[in-house]
Amino acid sequence: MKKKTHNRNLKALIITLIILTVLSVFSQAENSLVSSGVNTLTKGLFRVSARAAASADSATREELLRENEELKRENASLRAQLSEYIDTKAENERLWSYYGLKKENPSYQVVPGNVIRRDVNDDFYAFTLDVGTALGVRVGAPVITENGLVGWVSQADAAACKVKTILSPDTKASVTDKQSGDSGVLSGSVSLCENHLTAMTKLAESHQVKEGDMIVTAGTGGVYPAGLLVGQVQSIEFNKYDASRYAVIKPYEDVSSITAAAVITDFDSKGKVVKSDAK
Amino acid sequence: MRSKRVFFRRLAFALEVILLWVLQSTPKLLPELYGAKPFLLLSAALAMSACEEVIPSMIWGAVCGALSDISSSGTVGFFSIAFALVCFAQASLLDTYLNRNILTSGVLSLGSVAAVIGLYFVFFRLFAGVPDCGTLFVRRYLLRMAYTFICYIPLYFLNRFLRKTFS
Repeated sequence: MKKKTHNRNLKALIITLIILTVLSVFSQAENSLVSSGVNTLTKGLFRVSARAAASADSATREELLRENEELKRENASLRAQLSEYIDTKAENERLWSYYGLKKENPSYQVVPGNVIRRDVNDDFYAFTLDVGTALGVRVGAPVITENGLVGWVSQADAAACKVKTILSPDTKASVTDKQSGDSGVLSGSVSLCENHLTAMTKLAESHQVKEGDMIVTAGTGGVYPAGLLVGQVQSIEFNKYDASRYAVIKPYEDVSSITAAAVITDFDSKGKVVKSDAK
Repeated sequence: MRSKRVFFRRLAFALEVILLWVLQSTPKLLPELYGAKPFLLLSAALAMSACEEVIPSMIWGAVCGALSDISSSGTVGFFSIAFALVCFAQASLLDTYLNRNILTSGVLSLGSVAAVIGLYFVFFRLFAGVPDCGTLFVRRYLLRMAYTFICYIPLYFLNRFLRKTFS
């Protein structure tokens, strides 16, 4: 009897493993049905929980009631203001600084999104946005916040996309020092990620990068538009393994606490390799 | 009557899995231990396999693993297979050779947590050539294993309670 049960269990295990392997093969494609379906069904739930977690630091009920009364009085006085001023203020709050970026760079196609999930298994603060291929998001697209570049889209399905941050060693972006003109490659590392820092590697021997310099994307590879803010040089270090120098960069945005970001789905020099003017 | 109880027990497990998936993935919700967060779905799958028969344990493991895969990589793969295997192994051992109690299931679960998270590290960090793997393992993965196992303990008692209530 025991042997019969054991055999039945083994058969069930083999069948389950075969099903999982087949599912795995079919879910490998970009925009797979499995992840699109699950993300579409659960997007609402994750949005609610992400918003609830973000507002967990908010004030107590009494403080909120008091604030509500004050706001009602203030609102009544604001109604007396010119309607044009109110419309302009509401428009600025809604449009966010991404559209300021778009005004300076009209070729940018920007899709704003909210962070709905963070992968517990990722060591470099990867997150999931609630925008996907249905809105034009593609793998490799740069992801920004109002403070600058924060990552790139590593996976995308119809309803959501996963973003790897600039703290990850998988990130390879050509960057330039605004002050000295030196170019390098932005890439993260495990040791720097602990302190929410990243690195500008492949510095030339004759580089003139110094502390406090501003680092921006070079735009030479056709993957990232030129001029996106990245961070500030914190120090210049020596890599004992390959005898090269690299700059430790403190990103302008704290990628571990982002709650919203935008994906640049298109820009003028996308896909075009441009010769760098940098040193 | 029995099938009704089984249905409610499985419904309770399903709600538990969804709730833990949301808890695990929501930013800033769970406290971090030096940057490490617990792998709640793994804790839940092992807690269920400590209380359930072999085939249901394996299926719950596969479901928890599939949800972890979708959060992590967007594709069903490593976690679904790994969870199904460890849950099957744990449930089989508890069903045939060992007594079902907190001590034996705790030891088995500790080994399972170490195996799954360790294998993930080996395949997706070490073999992938991520630099400074040693630092990563010591500072993040060991803590993640410990945190995941700590979360297993209350889930074991919860699932045992659900099993007793709906059996």
